[in-house]
Amino acid sequence: MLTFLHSADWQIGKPYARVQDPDKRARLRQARIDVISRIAALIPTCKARFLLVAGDLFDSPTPSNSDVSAVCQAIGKLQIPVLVIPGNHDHGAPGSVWHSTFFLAEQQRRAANLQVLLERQPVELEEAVVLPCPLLRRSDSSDPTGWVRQLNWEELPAGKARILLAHGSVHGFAAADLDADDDNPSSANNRLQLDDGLLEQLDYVALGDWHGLKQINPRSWYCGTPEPDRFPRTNDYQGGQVLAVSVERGGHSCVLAHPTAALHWQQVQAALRGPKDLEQLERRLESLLAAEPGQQLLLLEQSGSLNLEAHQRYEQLLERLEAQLLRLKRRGRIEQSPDPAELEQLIQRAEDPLIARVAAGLQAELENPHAADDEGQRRLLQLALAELHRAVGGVPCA
Amino acid sequence: MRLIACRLHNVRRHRELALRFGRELTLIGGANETGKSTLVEALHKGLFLRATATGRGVEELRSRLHPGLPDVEISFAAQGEIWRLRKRFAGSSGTCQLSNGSGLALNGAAAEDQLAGLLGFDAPVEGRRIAQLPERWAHLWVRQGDGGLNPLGGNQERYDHNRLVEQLQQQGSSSALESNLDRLVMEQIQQQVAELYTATGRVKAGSALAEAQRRCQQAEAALRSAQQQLCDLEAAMEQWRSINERLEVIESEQRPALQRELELQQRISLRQAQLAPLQQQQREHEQLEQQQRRELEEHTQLQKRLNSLNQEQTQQRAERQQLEQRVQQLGAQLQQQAQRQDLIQVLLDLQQLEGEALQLQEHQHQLQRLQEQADILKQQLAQLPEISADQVRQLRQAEQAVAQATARCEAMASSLEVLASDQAIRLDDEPLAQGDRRQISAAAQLQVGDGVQIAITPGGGQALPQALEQQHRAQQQLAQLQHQLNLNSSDQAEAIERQRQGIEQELSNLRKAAKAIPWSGLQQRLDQLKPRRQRLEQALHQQQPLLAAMAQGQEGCAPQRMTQAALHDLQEQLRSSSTALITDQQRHQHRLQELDQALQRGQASLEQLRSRGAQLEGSLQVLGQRLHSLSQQQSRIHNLEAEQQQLQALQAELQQLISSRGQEDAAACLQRLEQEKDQLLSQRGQAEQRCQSLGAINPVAELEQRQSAWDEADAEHQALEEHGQALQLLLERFYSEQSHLANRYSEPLRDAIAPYLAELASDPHQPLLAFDPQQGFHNLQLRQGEEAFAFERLSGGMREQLSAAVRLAMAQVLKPAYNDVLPLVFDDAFTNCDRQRLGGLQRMLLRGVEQGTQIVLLTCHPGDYLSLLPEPDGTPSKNPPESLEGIAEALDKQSDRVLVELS
Repeated sequence: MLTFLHSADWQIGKPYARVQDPDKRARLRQARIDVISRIAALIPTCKARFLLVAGDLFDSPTPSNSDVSAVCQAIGKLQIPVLVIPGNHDHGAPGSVWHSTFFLAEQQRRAANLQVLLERQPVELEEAVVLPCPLLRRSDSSDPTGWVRQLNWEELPAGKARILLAHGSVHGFAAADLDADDDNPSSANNRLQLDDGLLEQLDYVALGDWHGLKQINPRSWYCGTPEPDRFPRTNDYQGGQVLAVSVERGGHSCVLAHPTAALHWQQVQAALRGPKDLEQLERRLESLLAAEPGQQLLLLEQSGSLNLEAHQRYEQLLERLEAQLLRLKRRGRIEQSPDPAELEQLIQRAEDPLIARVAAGLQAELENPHAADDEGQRRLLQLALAELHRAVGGVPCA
Repeated sequence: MRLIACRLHNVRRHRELALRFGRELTLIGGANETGKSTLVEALHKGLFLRATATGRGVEELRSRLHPGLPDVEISFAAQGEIWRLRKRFAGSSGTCQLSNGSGLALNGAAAEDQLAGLLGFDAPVEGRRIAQLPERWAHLWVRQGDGGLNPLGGNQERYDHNRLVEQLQQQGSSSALESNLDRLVMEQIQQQVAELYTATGRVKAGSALAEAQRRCQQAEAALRSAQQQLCDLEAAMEQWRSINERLEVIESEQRPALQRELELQQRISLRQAQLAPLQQQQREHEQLEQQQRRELEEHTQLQKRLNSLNQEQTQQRAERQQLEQRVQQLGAQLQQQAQRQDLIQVLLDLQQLEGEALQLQEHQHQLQRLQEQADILKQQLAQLPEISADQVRQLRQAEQAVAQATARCEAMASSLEVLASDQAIRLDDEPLAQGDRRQISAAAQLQVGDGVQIAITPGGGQALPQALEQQHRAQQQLAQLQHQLNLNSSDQAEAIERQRQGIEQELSNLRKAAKAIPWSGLQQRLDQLKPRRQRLEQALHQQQPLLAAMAQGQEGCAPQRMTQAALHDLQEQLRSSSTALITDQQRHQHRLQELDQALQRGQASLEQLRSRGAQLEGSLQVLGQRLHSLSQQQSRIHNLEAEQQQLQALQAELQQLISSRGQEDAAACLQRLEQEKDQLLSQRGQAEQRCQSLGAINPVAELEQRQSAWDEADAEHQALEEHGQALQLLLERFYSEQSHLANRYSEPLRDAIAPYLAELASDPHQPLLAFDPQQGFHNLQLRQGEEAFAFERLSGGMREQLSAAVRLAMAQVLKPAYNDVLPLVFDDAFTNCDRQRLGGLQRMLLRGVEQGTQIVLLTCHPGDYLSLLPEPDGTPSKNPPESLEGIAEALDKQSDRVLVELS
């Protein structure tokens, strides 16, 4: 039985542009290269004969030379053949990295075991036949697996496992769309037709594009990215592994996921309805804040509302998190709304009739059920009230 | 502040003018051009214009009548002191002196600043800012023509807004006013808003918001550019790919195909060149054979045609002969018919001759009878006297003349009738017997007896004898005629004349009858008929056998015995049969002509055919020889078919190649393809270069960075914008609340105005007024009944009165800030005020005075306001005073109300 490693979506050179700090960005980028060495470490234990990378090895069809060199160097250290197809991110159009003299030179120099499959034709290995479906443009309306259907199966070596290597969405699972978020917009949609007729002829389908682990059918797997690059969309979203696949011609395949991730992408619900909730959140994040800085990534799902004072405290907490984390991403909003005491501070001011009347007017409007409908107006009123609060607090006593 | 006195020196028309102001009221009267407005202007400039000012403001003060510089001296009370101000306007070297009773004496700028402070300003108006001058105390200084202006119009500086608000606040309810914190917070917000937005609400240039906006726009532009760059890169890659594909197609498909096409063309043309002479020979052989076939066929046709023509000619000749015979027969028949016709004509002529002779004879007999009758009538006529109708008429006329004359004579003559006589009566010796009657026409003697002789003379004088004469002549004429005619009466003559006429009529009829008969030469003509008859009979005799034949034809009836009618019939029969024969003959002759022509044509055709036949025979012989010689070369042509098949195969292949690409010339196409290839290679180079340059900075990463930068800039901009909007909202609310509170400010002012208006009329109008912290007081209106009228919509007079009421109220409200008194100057401010309102106006001014306002009223009609002055009591102090010296000290003695007359 043949064993090989199935990986994809390394996306070397991903800029992580939303991370403000250039050092953090560099660390995130480096993590994507570092994972290759962890894959390398799995090879002897899995007795893998070769490694398949199902597209998007690079984040762009024109990555920087330093990334090219780094990747070639890392791949060169793997002791087995590495077979790569271009995906939608690093498609194989003329002018892309795969054709560049620099890459070709670096490949030759550092990674003789790297084999880029740009032709749609069977590649016969010692124990298997790989049927590569490279993407030669970002988005192709024709099915990249189309050529395989034209194959005369009789002509393929009878005893060798047949492995289809492809990148894109399959019917019933739009990987690119499902995987997209506001950080990672869907860039292309390449549909792969994996019908039963085709699957009958194959022993394993190594898919790329979906960054989580996903089994499509008994023989077809998305392996996900070895180093996660985004916050999980769902609870069962599993990123950060390679697959060790054992397969034989006409037999069943055995797939084992080996974790490879170094970075921890966390998601925390911050549903705050008062200072107590905030305190609870602070306690929850205590360990995170106490850990080594620059290792974690956190997605804060914000909702609820805090009084003006607590909101200020929350802002301070966010500031700390920004400093501590490799990435703090916030979704949603915590409203700031004065509590009765704060409100009283503003409204019950007989000596300051203007402030009292303005504050009362704003609060009355906020309490008006119509204001709740218009989110923009509500926000504006809250902001105005907060500003007034701040202004009143900020003015030195006369 | 209260004016006490003033003195003008060399100010326009005033060489020297000094006057004391009343404590309460100063009424300054004077006709036009007496310098009232100059006084008002000089006082104002004295108070507010810097003494060193230059330009228009000062020039206007200069006198053209009096030499020397304008000099204004004003004495006034302010801040509990009596102040003496002297300004000498001498351009930049002007001087200002200000002193008070406490010994303070200031000069120049210090004096100016002190003065401005006393009047509620920071500094006096500079000469170059002369436009600001009219705004100083505009609510208190009503210049000529400004009486109807809205005192609250224009900017707030015009009516001392801040001090007015301050006073109103102090006078109004203390609980409704803004606090210090209110003000500070509002100012802070105002400042924050002002940092972000302009006064019109636009984003302020250079502000954080504008910067964020700019950054956002830049980030967006950079994003677009990055997107474009990525698109360009993808497009360049796509172009590169398509160029490669196209080159592949050219190299692997199109060029080989074209080359094959060209090779085929070459081979085909070579093969065609080899085959050409053989094909030529074959074609010639075929053509010759074809020609031979054609000519042989033509020859056969020719023979057939010749035969048929010959046969036709034979038939025509036979027919011609028959026709000739028939024509001859018809000629003989016609001749016979002509003879018979001639014979019948002879017979007819003979019959006609005899008829003519018979008629001539008949005529002869008739003529003879007529001659005899005429002779008898001539004899009768000869026996009658020859009396003509004229003669009868003459006779009758003569008889009538006698009768007329006689009647006349008898009428004129005396008539004598012897009725009875016993004696002989004699008339002119002619005895008269009883019963005798005599007509006495001339004097006559009548003797009765013997003894009586009577002369009778008929009447009429000479007429009677003339009548008698005429009678006599008539009788003679008659007798002569009768004698000539040998007749007795006209009646007889008439009867004879009628008889003669009858006979002559008969003779005339006979002559007419004779004329109808061609009587002349009758015998001669009869004689002439004889030789004709002889000729005819001779001719008849000669035709005797024919006559016999015709008689047989006519069933025994000899023609000479036939009637004329029968002969005519016979003749007609003969003529018609002759006509038929002639027609027949003509037809046959026409046919004969036709046959002749046909024969001639046939002959010509025959000759042509024979000649063509000879030609064909010659040509066939030549063809036979040529074919024979060609047949000897036939062996070479046997290979032709195989070679042609090969050629066709080549052509089919070529055609297939051509049809797969179009009709264009292959060589040109190949050349074009080469050009395209070159072009593609060059384009590929360009695309490659573009890919390299576009891909150098990793456009995907660049795009992500730009997208992120834009998101960030946009979020920042939005946050700032929201913050700004929140601040704006807050400020708006502050204003709105302030305005709400400020309404309470306008109430005391309204309340102050209302009593003045109440003085104007028994049914007073209510003033309306709005206040806004930014705009100040505005929207001055007057409520009349249910309707409110804006100041500008009021009548001229009403505007003046409302304006004065507002000014009086403002002076009243403001006075605590000015030592409890303010002067209010009206220069000709009530020109539109009607007489009925004068009382009300006076009451209004009086109220102003009572409320502590010092009113200075300048007017052309001081008499209208005299009632405001107190009754004169004793000797009033001289006004204008000679000098201001000592006036200050005499403040207590300042009169309450003063009248000044300018002249």
